[in-house]
Amino acid sequence: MDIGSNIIETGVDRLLKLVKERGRILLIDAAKEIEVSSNEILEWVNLLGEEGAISIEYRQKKPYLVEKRLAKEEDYLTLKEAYRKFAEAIIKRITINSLKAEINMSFESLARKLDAFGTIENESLLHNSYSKFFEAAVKKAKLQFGNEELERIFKNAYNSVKKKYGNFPVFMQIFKAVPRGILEMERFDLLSKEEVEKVAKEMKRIEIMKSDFSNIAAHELRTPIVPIIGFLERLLKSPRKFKLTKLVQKQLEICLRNAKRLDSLVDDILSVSKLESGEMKFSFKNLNLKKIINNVKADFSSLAKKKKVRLNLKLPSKLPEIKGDEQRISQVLTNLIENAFKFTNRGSVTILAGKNGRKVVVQVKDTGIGIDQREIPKLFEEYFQIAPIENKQIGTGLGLAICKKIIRKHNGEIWVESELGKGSSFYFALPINR
Amino acid sequence: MTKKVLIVDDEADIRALVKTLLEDEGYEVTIAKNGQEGLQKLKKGKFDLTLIDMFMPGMSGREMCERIRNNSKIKDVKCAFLTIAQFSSEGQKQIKKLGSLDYIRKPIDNDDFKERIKKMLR
Repeated sequence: MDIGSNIIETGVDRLLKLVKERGRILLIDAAKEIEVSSNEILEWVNLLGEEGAISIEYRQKKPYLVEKRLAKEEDYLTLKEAYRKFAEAIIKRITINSLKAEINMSFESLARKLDAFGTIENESLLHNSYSKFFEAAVKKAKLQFGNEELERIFKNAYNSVKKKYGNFPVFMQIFKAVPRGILEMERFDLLSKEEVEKVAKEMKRIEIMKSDFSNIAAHELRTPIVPIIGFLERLLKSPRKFKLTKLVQKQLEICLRNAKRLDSLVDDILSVSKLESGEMKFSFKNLNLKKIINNVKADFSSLAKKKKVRLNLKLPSKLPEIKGDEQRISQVLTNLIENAFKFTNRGSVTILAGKNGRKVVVQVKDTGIGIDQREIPKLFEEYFQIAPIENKQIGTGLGLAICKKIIRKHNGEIWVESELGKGSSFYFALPINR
Repeated sequence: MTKKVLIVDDEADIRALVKTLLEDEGYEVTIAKNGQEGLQKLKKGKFDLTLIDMFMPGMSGREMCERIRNNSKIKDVKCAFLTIAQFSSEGQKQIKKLGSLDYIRKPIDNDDFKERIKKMLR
């Protein structure tokens, strides 16, 4: 089963709709790309404490959350994106508090309904699974109050969910982690529609806040670059008028090139969020990869000289055309070469390309430090903000995640082969234009 | 006759850049630090073109443009936006509605910028 090609990214809105529409959700481990057993899920679920979404993100094997449609289509839906947003929201204190307020409110209304048979400790509400919680509630009702009627209501509610969604209603457990059961509680009719909508609204607000933030950040980062590029361009346009010596001119050119590079870097940061939200537009044209490779290579000649690492090019005399977005493909190549130099202190970086079946394969090979086999599955993982802090040794998170998304948009593939201490080869393959 | 251009931008260095580029082309340039000041200058003097930064604290470029269009005295002033953001097609429609002739992305491509200004002043 190839999960990758069947994953549709989803946002919070979609997620909420989905939960309302459908029942069972399966967890799929991305590293192994297999469906996990309910025992494994149970283990994860037990780990899901206060910040369950985060623990599932990085304490475990970075599982994708995938919903398997109950219909016959062989179609999978990633909930990871939505889940990541939840996790980010949790990390940010402002939102943690506002989410908490919402959650507590909902629990309060639940607690009121449970008042008849005594208080259930917060602890069990927050940390136990819902099945356990309901069992406890039923038990408590029976023991302390002998209220047969209430016991019956709760048992019925629990059994009907069990019957409808199977022995183990996984989705309930998953969503317990962050919105903590508010959504699934609707199924018990314990939460009003208004309350559910309120939570949905809050989540939406978080989403908007996040996108506002990246827009403002991009604006602020870019503003200082504007006069740098503008004035440098002006000076370089008329070197004689401004009496620029050859040396000054050359150095200003370097400044300008790098200011422009910085500008596109800011663009890239913005593109992550756009790629993830699906806002990113691609303009596909017939491309000559040789030209692109040569252009990108030229940008690295000074770095190669500085690092005393050779930069080689091994291209066939002719490469078939591909259909792609020039800027994006250059971005991928730039990123791979940048990484190669970053981790290579002696030897060489070599760019190779060739036709392989119906694809053109580009390889960026280095003689650098190499990558631990265990790290490889994580390399192309989607961008996740806390990863660089938690996992300093990776350090490539953002760039390669963008690369993978871009290549995937071209119906291509990207992969790596590496040996610790010997070097790495990053490959991408793009379908030949016919 | 020398064409007069008003630049409204909250960033001093960007004002300096745009002013320099326009003066290189022989235009007469006036600057304003924000929308309020820009409106005042528009009411007092006569300008052939107003370049407005989209993203300013206080009065945004969009708001300033709206105010221009709603003021009978200056409503026919030619306007164009300076912007860092890339507009979606929806955003482009919106700024067209405001009567903006063009929008110029920052960082500015100097040659392209001069060309566009020339076109707008025709």
